[in-house]
Amino acid sequence: MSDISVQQVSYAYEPPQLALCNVSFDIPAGRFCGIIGPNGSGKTTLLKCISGYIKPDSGKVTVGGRDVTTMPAREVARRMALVQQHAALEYEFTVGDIVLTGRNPHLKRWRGETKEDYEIAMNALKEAGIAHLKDRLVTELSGGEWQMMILARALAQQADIMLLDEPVTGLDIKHQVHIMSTVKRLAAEHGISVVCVLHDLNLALTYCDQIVLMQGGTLAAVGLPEDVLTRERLESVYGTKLHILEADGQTFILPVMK
Amino acid sequence: MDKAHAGKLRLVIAVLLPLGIAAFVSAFLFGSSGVSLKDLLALMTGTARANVHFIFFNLRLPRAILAFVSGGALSISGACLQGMFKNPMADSYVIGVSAGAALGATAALAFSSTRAFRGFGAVNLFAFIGALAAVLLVYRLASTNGKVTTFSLLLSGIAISTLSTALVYCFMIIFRDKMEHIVMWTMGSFTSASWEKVFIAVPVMLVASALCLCFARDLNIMLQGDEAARHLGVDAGRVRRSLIVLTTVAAASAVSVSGIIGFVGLIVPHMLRLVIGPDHRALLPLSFFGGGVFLLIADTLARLVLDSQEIPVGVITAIIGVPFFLFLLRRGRRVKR
Repeated sequence: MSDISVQQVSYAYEPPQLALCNVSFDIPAGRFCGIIGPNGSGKTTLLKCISGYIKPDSGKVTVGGRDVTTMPAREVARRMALVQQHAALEYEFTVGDIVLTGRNPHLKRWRGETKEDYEIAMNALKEAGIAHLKDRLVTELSGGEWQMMILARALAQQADIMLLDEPVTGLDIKHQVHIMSTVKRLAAEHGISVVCVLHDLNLALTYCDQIVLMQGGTLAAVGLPEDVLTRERLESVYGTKLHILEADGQTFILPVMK
Repeated sequence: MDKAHAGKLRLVIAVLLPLGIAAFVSAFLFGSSGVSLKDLLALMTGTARANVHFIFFNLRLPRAILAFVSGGALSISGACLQGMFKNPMADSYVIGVSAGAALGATAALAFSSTRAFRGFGAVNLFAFIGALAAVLLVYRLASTNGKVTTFSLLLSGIAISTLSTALVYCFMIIFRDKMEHIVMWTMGSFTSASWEKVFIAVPVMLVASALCLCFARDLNIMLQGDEAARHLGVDAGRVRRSLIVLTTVAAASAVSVSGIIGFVGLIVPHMLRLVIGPDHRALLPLSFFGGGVFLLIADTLARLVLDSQEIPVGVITAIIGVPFFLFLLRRGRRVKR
């Protein structure tokens, strides 16, 4: 298991306008870390820097002490799996084909998948609860089924870090809860660290054990959910009035409707 | 791979293999000089007449090999580029291969360069260099901060192709006496096929095509997007650069010995994709074989259709390919609905 360390990271898509400005924090191994913040606050850019997909203009991100931007793609893939937002794939692959691509970082260059790779992919399908979809074409999947397929692909990678970029955006509440609880369960069972960009504050409050709150490309706060998600701080960051409610032993954050 | 998919794959192989054998036999039999099946059998037993021996070994065999491998190279290049760009309209010609080759060949024809190196004439060499130079220029123009997007590459390809074509027209106006030669070259033909061309161009096309096969799994993964590909262990930028080099070398070699033959790189991979699906591990080798068979049949027809003269093979590929392609496209859409 590897710690993630974000060290004074700055990045600009179009200089001098900074998308990230001097962001620093650590994510200890095994944590479920949620990155939250308003639109345009730099959440996804931060995740892309953590994944090594974009190289910071200054500062660095290390995983297990190593700079992610210097790691070869195959090594990155063996250590970090990515679950993106639902995006249509027009090509008629089966769910089994896509989940099997999760084994790619472990394959030797000139060799195909082994029997063990097929077994690992099949187990990933079972653990995600979608073994029955194995032969279904990806073009025929619903949004929720798609996300579970990508989750199964990430499991098949056997990486010790899972990066999720708004994994439940556009899904109904049943699928939101199903996917988040499945990620939480699987992360605990396999000892996977999770870094998850979320819009829904209630999901962040329920599932995360560390919160990174972003505002305008800077780090507004980092820490335990109950310490970070306070009414005053959230109202200041989001620029809107909020209700903090208690019901059935759970805390809920709701905007005050005008 | 599910059972239905495996069945379709077996069906395609079962159709393509005998079709390929039939295409080669037809290419040996048909032409302005008659060669019968009995002559072919006599060739195998070493008892053939001298003129049959000459026609087979000096004319038909090198031509058939050149047509087959050129078709394969154009087709596998198209399949790779379509997968790489996630764009069904992409092929080598879109990124400047044909226009660059045409400009190179036109310059050589205009200045009547007759120099040859082991049968590989200045026109072939200039066409090859023109194609490589055009793609290099397209790539440089499309590159911003070391990154090349599909969109910028395709637009740069269109711009450079248009410019090259305009320059070809300039040459044609200035060197009016060479106009017919230039027009005929741009239509594509294997009339000048020779063993020398086979020995120079075929190994290059085969090696480049074989190396393309090594990227089949990477192409499948890149269909999921560049960021997802990186997290599945594929450096999409590196794969893209490697494949642009390989497909350009393969297609430029084909074009340099045959002239411009359109549609092979579009039609054959498309037809196969409609039947066997998008998995490049099956699509790329079958595209090579299918493209080879397609161009071999087209070249044989080019020699047969008119009694008095050959039709440019590029005309044949368009005439027989496009209606079949449109039929499959419409049928595919209907099945999906």
